[in-house]
Amino acid sequence: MCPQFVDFDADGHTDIITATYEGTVFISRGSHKGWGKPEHLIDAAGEYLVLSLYYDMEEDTYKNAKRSPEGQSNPKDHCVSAMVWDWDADGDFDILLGAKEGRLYLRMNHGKPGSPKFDTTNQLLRAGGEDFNVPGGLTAPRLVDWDADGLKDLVCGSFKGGVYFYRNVGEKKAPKFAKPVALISPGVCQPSDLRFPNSGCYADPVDYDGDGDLDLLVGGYCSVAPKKRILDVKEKARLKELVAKTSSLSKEMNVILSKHAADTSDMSKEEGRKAFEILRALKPYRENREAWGKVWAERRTFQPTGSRTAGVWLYRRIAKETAAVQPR
Amino acid sequence: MRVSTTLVLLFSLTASLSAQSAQGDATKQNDRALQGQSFAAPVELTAGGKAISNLMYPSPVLHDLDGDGKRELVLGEIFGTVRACTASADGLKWQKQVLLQAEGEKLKFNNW
Repeated sequence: MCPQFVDFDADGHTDIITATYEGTVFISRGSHKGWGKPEHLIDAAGEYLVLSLYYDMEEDTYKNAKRSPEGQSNPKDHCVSAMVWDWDADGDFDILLGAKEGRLYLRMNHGKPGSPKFDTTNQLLRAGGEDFNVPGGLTAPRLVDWDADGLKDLVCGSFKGGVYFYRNVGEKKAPKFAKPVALISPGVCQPSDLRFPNSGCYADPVDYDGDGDLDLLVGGYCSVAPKKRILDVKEKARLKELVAKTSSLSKEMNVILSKHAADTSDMSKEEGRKAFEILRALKPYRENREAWGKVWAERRTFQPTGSRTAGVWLYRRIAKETAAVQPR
Repeated sequence: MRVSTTLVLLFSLTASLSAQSAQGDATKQNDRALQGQSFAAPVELTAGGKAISNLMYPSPVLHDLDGDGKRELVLGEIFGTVRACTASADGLKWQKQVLLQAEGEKLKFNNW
Protein backbone atom coordinates (compact mmCIF):
# COMPACT_ATOMS: atom_id res chain seq x y z
CA MET A 1 0.00 0.00 0.00
CA CYS A 2 2.93 2.32 0.71
CA PRO A 3 1.28 5.63 1.81
CA GLN A 4 2.88 8.87 0.62
CA PHE A 5 2.50 12.06 2.66
CA VAL A 6 2.41 15.08 0.38
CA ASP A 7 0.39 18.27 -0.13
CA PHE A 8 -1.11 17.08 -3.42
CA ASP A 9 -3.92 19.64 -3.70
CA ALA A 10 -1.75 22.60 -2.73
CA ASP A 11 -4.01 23.76 0.10
CA GLY A 12 -1.27 23.88 2.71
CA HIS A 13 -2.25 20.57 4.34
CA THR A 14 -0.52 17.25 3.90
CA ASP A 15 -2.57 14.58 2.11
CA ILE A 16 -2.12 10.81 1.87
CA ILE A 17 -1.71 9.27 -1.58
CA THR A 18 -1.79 5.52 -1.95
CA ALA A 19 -3.01 2.62 -4.06
CA THR A 20 -4.34 -0.71 -2.85
CA TYR A 21 -4.74 -4.15 -4.41
CA GLU A 22 -8.04 -2.89 -5.79
CA GLY A 23 -5.75 -1.43 -8.47
CA THR A 24 -6.84 2.20 -8.11
CA VAL A 25 -5.32 5.33 -6.59
CA PHE A 26 -6.70 7.11 -3.55
CA ILE A 27 -6.25 10.38 -1.77
CA SER A 28 -7.19 11.19 1.81
CA ARG A 29 -7.13 14.95 1.96
CA GLY A 30 -5.67 16.59 5.02
CA SER A 31 -7.29 19.65 6.57
CA HIS A 32 -7.28 21.45 9.90
CA LYS A 33 -9.92 18.88 10.97
CA GLY A 34 -7.70 15.88 10.21
CA TRP A 35 -7.84 13.29 7.42
CA GLY A 36 -10.74 13.15 4.98
CA LYS A 37 -12.44 9.99 3.78
CA PRO A 38 -10.53 8.39 0.90
CA GLU A 39 -11.48 9.47 -2.61
CA HIS A 40 -10.33 8.01 -5.91
CA LEU A 41 -8.01 10.13 -8.00
CA ILE A 42 -9.31 10.43 -11.56
CA ASP A 43 -7.84 11.21 -14.95
CA ALA A 44 -8.78 13.98 -17.41
CA ALA A 45 -11.66 11.81 -18.71
CA GLY A 46 -13.07 11.28 -15.22
CA GLU A 47 -11.92 7.64 -15.02
CA TYR A 48 -10.07 6.00 -12.17
CA LEU A 49 -6.28 5.87 -12.45
CA VAL A 50 -5.66 2.18 -13.19
CA LEU A 51 -3.26 0.01 -15.13
CA SER A 52 -4.54 -2.67 -17.50
CA LEU A 53 -6.01 -4.82 -14.70
CA TYR A 54 -8.10 -3.72 -11.71
CA TYR A 55 -10.75 -5.02 -9.36
CA ASP A 56 -14.26 -3.75 -10.01
CA MET A 57 -15.70 -3.47 -6.49
CA GLU A 58 -19.29 -3.05 -7.69
CA GLU A 59 -19.22 -6.13 -9.89
CA ASP A 60 -16.86 -7.99 -7.52
CA THR A 61 -14.50 -9.16 -10.25
CA TYR A 62 -11.20 -8.35 -11.95
CA LYS A 63 -11.54 -6.33 -15.15
CA ASN A 64 -9.27 -5.26 -17.96
CA ALA A 65 -8.85 -1.61 -18.82
CA LYS A 66 -7.52 -0.12 -22.04
CA ARG A 67 -5.00 2.42 -20.86
CA SER A 68 -2.15 1.93 -23.35
CA PRO A 69 -0.98 4.80 -25.52
CA GLU A 70 -2.37 4.61 -29.05
CA GLY A 71 -0.66 1.96 -31.14
CA GLN A 72 0.90 0.30 -28.10
CA SER A 73 -0.13 -2.56 -25.89
CA ASN A 74 1.09 -2.43 -22.30
CA PRO A 75 1.44 -5.70 -20.38
CA LYS A 76 -1.49 -6.91 -18.25
CA ASP A 77 -0.38 -5.19 -15.06
CA HIS A 78 -2.10 -4.59 -11.77
CA CYS A 79 -1.44 -1.32 -9.90
CA VAL A 80 -0.56 -1.73 -6.23
CA SER A 81 1.23 1.49 -5.41
CA ALA A 82 1.20 5.14 -6.38
CA MET A 83 3.50 8.07 -5.84
CA VAL A 84 3.09 11.64 -7.01
CA TRP A 85 6.11 13.51 -8.30
CA ASP A 86 6.63 16.58 -10.44
CA TRP A 87 8.27 14.49 -13.16
CA ASP A 88 8.87 17.34 -15.61
CA ALA A 89 9.44 20.07 -13.02
CA ASP A 90 6.56 22.16 -14.40
CA GLY A 91 5.03 22.92 -11.00
CA ASP A 92 2.35 20.20 -10.75
CA PHE A 93 2.37 16.64 -9.57
CA ASP A 94 2.49 13.82 -12.11
CA ILE A 95 1.96 10.30 -10.83
CA LEU A 96 3.87 7.02 -10.92
CA LEU A 97 1.85 3.82 -10.78
CA GLY A 98 3.63 0.71 -9.54
CA ALA A 99 2.60 -2.72 -10.80
CA LYS A 100 2.56 -5.89 -8.74
CA GLU A 101 4.46 -7.53 -11.58
CA GLY A 102 7.41 -5.12 -11.12
CA ARG A 103 6.88 -2.53 -13.83
CA LEU A 104 6.41 1.19 -13.30
CA TYR A 105 4.19 3.58 -15.26
CA LEU A 106 3.83 7.34 -15.56
CA ARG A 107 0.74 9.51 -15.97
CA MET A 108 1.57 13.10 -16.81
CA ASN A 109 -0.54 15.86 -15.31
CA HIS A 110 -1.51 18.65 -17.70
CA GLY A 111 -3.50 20.57 -15.10
CA LYS A 112 -2.21 22.80 -12.37
CA PRO A 113 -1.72 22.46 -8.62
CA GLY A 114 -5.10 21.80 -7.03
CA SER A 115 -6.85 20.90 -10.30
CA PRO A 116 -5.05 17.98 -11.91
CA LYS A 117 -5.69 16.67 -15.42
CA PHE A 118 -3.93 13.35 -15.67
CA ASP A 119 -3.29 11.64 -18.99
CA THR A 120 -5.75 8.87 -19.80
CA THR A 121 -3.03 6.38 -20.75
CA ASN A 122 -0.08 4.86 -18.93
CA GLN A 123 3.45 5.35 -20.14
CA LEU A 124 5.67 2.37 -19.32
CA LEU A 125 8.97 3.63 -17.90
CA ARG A 126 12.39 2.27 -18.71
CA ALA A 127 15.57 1.80 -16.71
CA GLY A 128 19.01 0.96 -18.07
CA GLY A 129 17.62 0.67 -21.61
CA GLU A 130 14.97 -1.90 -20.68
CA ASP A 131 11.42 -1.81 -19.37
CA PHE A 132 11.45 -0.77 -15.71
CA ASN A 133 11.00 -4.06 -13.90
CA VAL A 134 11.93 -4.53 -10.26
CA PRO A 135 13.58 -7.94 -9.87
CA GLY A 136 11.06 -10.11 -8.04
CA GLY A 137 8.12 -7.77 -8.73
CA LEU A 138 6.10 -5.37 -6.59
CA THR A 139 7.15 -1.82 -7.38
CA ALA A 140 6.45 0.38 -4.43
CA PRO A 141 8.72 3.26 -5.37
CA ARG A 142 10.07 5.84 -2.98
CA LEU A 143 11.52 9.07 -4.21
CA VAL A 144 14.81 10.22 -2.72
CA ASP A 145 18.07 11.82 -3.78
CA TRP A 146 20.03 8.76 -2.68
CA ASP A 147 23.36 9.81 -4.19
CA ALA A 148 23.05 13.53 -3.33
CA ASP A 149 23.56 14.69 -6.93
CA GLY A 150 20.52 16.99 -6.93
CA LEU A 151 18.28 14.57 -8.85
CA LYS A 152 15.59 12.40 -7.30
CA ASP A 153 16.28 8.66 -7.56
CA LEU A 154 13.95 5.74 -6.90
CA VAL A 155 14.27 3.07 -4.25
CA CYS A 156 11.99 0.05 -4.60
CA GLY A 157 11.38 -2.98 -2.43
CA SER A 158 10.80 -6.35 -4.05
CA PHE A 159 8.20 -9.04 -3.55
CA LYS A 160 10.94 -11.70 -3.60
CA GLY A 161 13.14 -9.82 -1.16
CA GLY A 162 15.76 -7.14 -1.57
CA VAL A 163 15.70 -3.41 -2.07
CA TYR A 164 16.80 -1.80 -5.34
CA PHE A 165 18.25 1.60 -6.20
CA TYR A 166 17.41 3.20 -9.55
CA ARG A 167 19.81 6.08 -10.13
CA ASN A 168 18.42 9.06 -11.98
CA VAL A 169 20.94 9.73 -14.76
CA GLY A 170 18.70 12.17 -16.58
CA GLU A 171 18.03 15.84 -16.06
CA LYS A 172 15.80 17.78 -13.71
CA LYS A 173 12.99 18.10 -16.28
CA ALA A 174 13.60 14.71 -17.89
CA PRO A 175 14.35 11.90 -15.42
CA LYS A 176 16.03 8.79 -16.81
CA PHE A 177 16.93 5.74 -14.77
CA ALA A 178 19.96 3.50 -14.81
CA LYS A 179 19.67 -0.24 -14.38
CA PRO A 180 18.83 -1.30 -10.81
CA VAL A 181 21.47 -2.00 -8.20
CA ALA A 182 20.64 -4.02 -5.08
CA LEU A 183 21.01 -1.99 -1.89
CA ILE A 184 19.83 -5.03 0.09
CA SER A 185 20.20 -8.39 -1.62
CA PRO A 186 17.45 -10.99 -1.45
CA GLY A 187 18.32 -13.87 0.82
CA VAL A 188 17.27 -17.04 2.55
CA CYS A 189 16.84 -16.98 6.31
CA GLN A 190 17.87 -20.11 8.20
CA PRO A 191 16.32 -20.93 11.60
CA SER A 192 19.57 -20.01 13.38
CA ASP A 193 19.98 -16.70 11.52
CA LEU A 194 19.13 -13.22 12.64
CA ARG A 195 15.68 -12.45 11.29
CA PHE A 196 15.57 -10.14 8.29
CA PRO A 197 12.96 -9.33 5.63
CA ASN A 198 13.30 -11.57 2.59
CA SER A 199 9.93 -11.23 0.87
CA GLY A 200 7.17 -8.66 0.38
CA CYS A 201 9.59 -5.80 0.99
CA TYR A 202 8.41 -2.19 1.18
CA ALA A 203 11.31 0.20 1.70
CA ASP A 204 11.49 3.76 2.98
CA PRO A 205 14.85 5.49 2.49
CA VAL A 206 15.17 7.90 5.40
CA ASP A 207 17.78 9.39 7.71
CA TYR A 208 16.43 7.38 10.61
CA ASP A 209 19.10 8.21 13.17
CA GLY A 210 19.76 11.81 12.13
CA ASP A 211 23.44 11.21 11.35
CA GLY A 212 23.22 12.81 7.91
CA ASP A 213 23.02 9.72 5.71
CA LEU A 214 20.09 7.73 4.43
CA ASP A 215 19.16 4.48 6.13
CA LEU A 216 16.53 2.00 5.01
CA LEU A 217 13.36 1.17 6.84
CA VAL A 218 12.00 -2.08 5.42
CA GLY A 219 8.64 -3.70 6.04
CA GLY A 220 8.06 -7.22 4.86
CA TYR A 221 8.24 -10.85 5.78
CA CYS A 222 10.95 -13.00 7.22
CA SER A 223 10.47 -16.44 5.70
CA VAL A 224 12.52 -19.02 7.57
CA ALA A 225 13.53 -22.18 5.75
CA PRO A 226 12.59 -25.40 7.57
CA LYS A 227 15.26 -27.35 9.36
CA LYS A 228 15.22 -30.80 7.79
CA ARG A 229 15.16 -33.85 10.02
CA ILE A 230 16.91 -37.16 9.35
CA LEU A 231 14.43 -39.92 10.19
CA ASP A 232 15.19 -43.41 11.45
CA VAL A 233 13.37 -46.47 10.05
CA LYS A 234 10.56 -46.35 12.61
CA GLU A 235 9.95 -42.65 12.03
CA LYS A 236 9.91 -43.14 8.26
CA ALA A 237 7.24 -45.81 8.63
CA ARG A 238 5.13 -43.57 10.85
CA LEU A 239 5.48 -40.69 8.41
CA LYS A 240 4.26 -42.94 5.61
CA GLU A 241 1.16 -43.76 7.67
CA LEU A 242 0.53 -40.09 8.39
CA VAL A 243 0.85 -39.12 4.72
CA ALA A 244 -1.72 -41.80 3.81
CA LYS A 245 -4.02 -40.67 6.62
CA THR A 246 -3.84 -37.02 5.51
CA SER A 247 -4.70 -38.06 1.99
CA SER A 248 -7.71 -40.16 3.05
CA LEU A 249 -9.02 -37.36 5.30
CA SER A 250 -8.75 -34.92 2.41
CA LYS A 251 -10.75 -37.29 0.21
CA GLU A 252 -13.37 -37.62 2.95
CA MET A 253 -13.57 -33.82 3.12
CA ASN A 254 -14.24 -33.65 -0.61
CA VAL A 255 -17.16 -36.06 -0.12
CA ILE A 256 -18.51 -33.91 2.75
CA LEU A 257 -18.20 -30.76 0.64
CA SER A 258 -19.95 -32.31 -2.35
CA LYS A 259 -22.80 -33.47 -0.09
CA HIS A 260 -23.26 -30.40 2.14
CA ALA A 261 -21.61 -27.34 0.60
CA ALA A 262 -23.95 -24.90 -1.09
CA ASP A 263 -23.34 -23.61 -4.58
CA THR A 264 -22.01 -20.13 -3.86
CA SER A 265 -21.52 -19.02 -7.47
CA ASP A 266 -24.65 -16.83 -7.51
CA MET A 267 -24.33 -15.65 -3.90
CA SER A 268 -23.14 -12.30 -2.68
CA LYS A 269 -20.02 -12.22 -0.50
CA GLU A 270 -22.17 -11.99 2.63
CA GLU A 271 -24.41 -14.90 1.59
CA GLY A 272 -21.31 -16.95 0.77
CA ARG A 273 -19.85 -16.23 4.22
CA LYS A 274 -23.10 -17.31 5.90
CA ALA A 275 -23.22 -20.53 3.85
CA PHE A 276 -19.65 -21.30 4.93
CA GLU A 277 -20.51 -20.69 8.59
CA ILE A 278 -23.39 -23.18 8.30
CA LEU A 279 -21.04 -25.73 6.73
CA ARG A 280 -18.42 -25.22 9.46
CA ALA A 281 -21.03 -25.93 12.13
CA LEU A 282 -21.89 -29.36 10.68
CA LYS A 283 -20.65 -32.35 12.71
CA PRO A 284 -19.00 -34.26 9.81
CA TYR A 285 -17.09 -31.13 8.78
CA ARG A 286 -15.91 -30.36 12.31
CA GLU A 287 -14.86 -33.97 13.01
CA ASN A 288 -12.91 -34.20 9.77
CA ARG A 289 -11.10 -30.88 10.37
CA GLU A 290 -10.22 -31.88 13.92
CA ALA A 291 -8.83 -35.26 12.85
CA TRP A 292 -6.93 -33.68 9.95
CA GLY A 293 -5.41 -31.08 12.28
CA LYS A 294 -4.09 -33.73 14.67
CA VAL A 295 -2.56 -35.82 11.88
CA TRP A 296 -1.03 -32.75 10.26
CA ALA A 297 0.49 -31.60 13.56
CA GLU A 298 2.21 -34.97 14.05
CA ARG A 299 3.33 -35.00 10.42
CA ARG A 300 5.00 -31.63 10.89
CA THR A 301 7.20 -33.06 13.64
CA PHE A 302 8.75 -35.33 10.98
CA GLN A 303 8.53 -32.85 8.12
CA PRO A 304 9.05 -29.38 9.62
CA THR A 305 7.66 -26.56 7.55
CA GLY A 306 9.10 -23.08 7.32
CA SER A 307 7.60 -20.03 8.96
CA ARG A 308 6.76 -16.59 7.63
CA THR A 309 6.41 -13.62 9.94
CA ALA A 310 5.80 -9.99 9.14
CA GLY A 311 7.84 -7.20 10.64
CA VAL A 312 9.61 -3.90 10.17
CA TRP A 313 13.38 -3.65 10.16
CA LEU A 314 15.94 -0.86 10.22
CA TYR A 315 19.08 -1.07 8.09
CA ARG A 316 21.43 1.65 9.32
CA ARG A 317 23.92 2.96 6.79
CA ILE A 318 27.50 2.54 7.94
CA ALA A 319 30.95 3.03 6.45
CA LYS A 320 32.03 0.13 4.25
CA GLU A 321 35.10 -0.85 6.27
CA THR A 322 32.94 -1.60 9.31
CA ALA A 323 30.03 -3.09 7.38
CA ALA A 324 28.31 -6.21 8.58
CA VAL A 325 28.00 -9.16 6.24
CA GLN A 326 24.94 -8.81 4.06
CA PRO A 327 22.29 -11.52 4.17
CA ARG A 328 22.94 -14.32 1.70
CA MET B 1 29.05 0.43 -53.64
CA ARG B 2 32.01 -0.94 -51.71
CA VAL B 3 32.83 2.57 -50.37
CA SER B 4 29.29 3.15 -49.13
CA THR B 5 29.20 -0.29 -47.44
CA THR B 6 32.48 0.51 -45.69
CA LEU B 7 31.11 3.87 -44.56
CA VAL B 8 27.96 2.21 -43.17
CA LEU B 9 30.09 -0.35 -41.32
CA LEU B 10 32.35 2.37 -39.95
CA PHE B 11 29.32 4.41 -38.84
CA SER B 12 27.75 1.35 -37.17
CA LEU B 13 31.01 0.53 -35.39
CA THR B 14 31.39 4.11 -34.14
CA ALA B 15 27.76 4.22 -32.98
CA SER B 16 28.16 0.86 -31.24
CA LEU B 17 31.38 1.95 -29.49
CA SER B 18 29.73 5.21 -28.48
CA ALA B 19 26.69 3.34 -27.05
CA GLN B 20 29.00 0.94 -25.18
CA SER B 21 30.94 3.89 -23.82
CA ALA B 22 27.72 5.61 -22.65
CA GLN B 23 26.58 2.38 -21.00
CA GLY B 24 30.01 2.02 -19.37
CA ASP B 25 29.78 5.59 -18.06
CA ALA B 26 26.32 4.91 -16.62
CA THR B 27 27.62 1.75 -14.91
CA LYS B 28 30.60 3.66 -13.50
CA GLN B 29 28.29 6.41 -12.26
CA ASN B 30 26.09 3.77 -10.65
CA ASP B 31 29.10 2.14 -9.00
CA ARG B 32 30.37 5.51 -7.78
CA ALA B 33 26.94 6.31 -6.34
CA LEU B 34 27.15 3.18 -4.20
CA GLN B 35 30.80 3.42 -3.21
CA GLY B 36 31.37 3.32 0.51
CA GLN B 37 27.77 2.40 1.21
CA SER B 38 26.75 -0.51 3.31
CA PHE B 39 24.39 -1.35 6.08
CA ALA B 40 24.65 -2.71 9.57
CA ALA B 41 22.84 -5.94 10.34
CA PRO B 42 19.08 -5.31 10.35
CA VAL B 43 17.39 -4.47 13.64
CA GLU B 44 13.76 -5.48 14.05
CA LEU B 45 11.60 -2.66 15.35
CA THR B 46 8.91 -3.09 17.96
CA ALA B 47 5.72 -1.20 18.75
CA GLY B 48 4.10 -1.37 22.14
CA GLY B 49 6.73 -3.89 23.23
CA LYS B 50 5.90 -6.35 20.44
CA ALA B 51 7.31 -7.14 17.01
CA ILE B 52 5.23 -5.57 14.26
CA SER B 53 4.03 -8.96 13.07
CA ASN B 54 0.28 -8.27 13.14
CA LEU B 55 0.12 -6.55 9.76
CA MET B 56 -0.04 -8.12 6.33
CA TYR B 57 2.54 -6.57 4.03
CA PRO B 58 3.51 -3.69 6.32
CA SER B 59 4.71 -0.61 4.45
CA PRO B 60 6.53 1.72 6.85
CA VAL B 61 7.29 5.41 6.47
CA LEU B 62 8.54 8.00 8.93
CA HIS B 63 6.47 11.15 8.97
CA ASP B 64 5.69 13.91 11.46
CA LEU B 65 1.92 13.56 11.55
CA ASP B 66 1.11 16.07 14.28
CA GLY B 67 3.68 18.74 13.44
CA ASP B 68 5.44 18.51 16.80
CA GLY B 69 8.84 18.12 15.16
CA LYS B 70 9.06 14.40 15.96
CA ARG B 71 8.45 11.78 13.32
CA GLU B 72 5.96 8.99 13.85
CA LEU B 73 6.38 5.50 12.45
CA VAL B 74 3.45 5.18 10.02
CA LEU B 75 2.43 1.72 8.85
CA GLY B 76 0.30 0.88 5.84
CA GLU B 77 -0.97 -2.65 5.32
CA ILE B 78 -2.72 -4.69 2.66
CA PHE B 79 -6.26 -4.21 3.97
CA GLY B 80 -6.02 -0.44 3.58
CA THR B 81 -5.77 0.83 7.14
CA VAL B 82 -3.00 3.11 8.35
CA ARG B 83 -1.49 3.01 11.82
CA ALA B 84 0.94 5.28 13.60
CA CYS B 85 3.28 4.84 16.52
CA THR B 86 4.95 7.60 18.50
CA ALA B 87 8.63 7.29 19.25
CA SER B 88 10.42 6.24 22.38
CA ALA B 89 13.80 7.44 23.58
CA ASP B 90 16.05 5.06 21.65
CA GLY B 91 14.15 5.33 18.35
CA LEU B 92 13.86 1.57 17.99
CA LYS B 93 11.07 0.77 20.39
CA TRP B 94 7.94 2.55 19.27
CA GLN B 95 4.77 3.12 21.25
CA LYS B 96 1.74 0.95 20.50
CA GLN B 97 0.01 1.16 17.12
CA VAL B 98 -2.91 3.57 16.81
CA LEU B 99 -5.25 3.53 13.81
CA LEU B 100 -5.52 6.80 11.92
CA GLN B 101 -9.02 8.23 11.82
CA ALA B 102 -10.94 10.01 9.06
CA GLU B 103 -14.03 12.01 9.93
CA GLY B 104 -14.66 10.07 13.12
CA GLU B 105 -14.11 6.62 11.64
CA LYS B 106 -11.14 4.38 11.00
CA LEU B 107 -9.24 5.61 7.93
CA LYS B 108 -9.48 2.79 5.40
CA PHE B 109 -8.50 2.81 1.76
CA ASN B 110 -10.73 0.39 -0.05
CA ASN B 111 -9.34 -2.94 -1.10
CA TRP B 112 -10.65 -5.87 -3.00
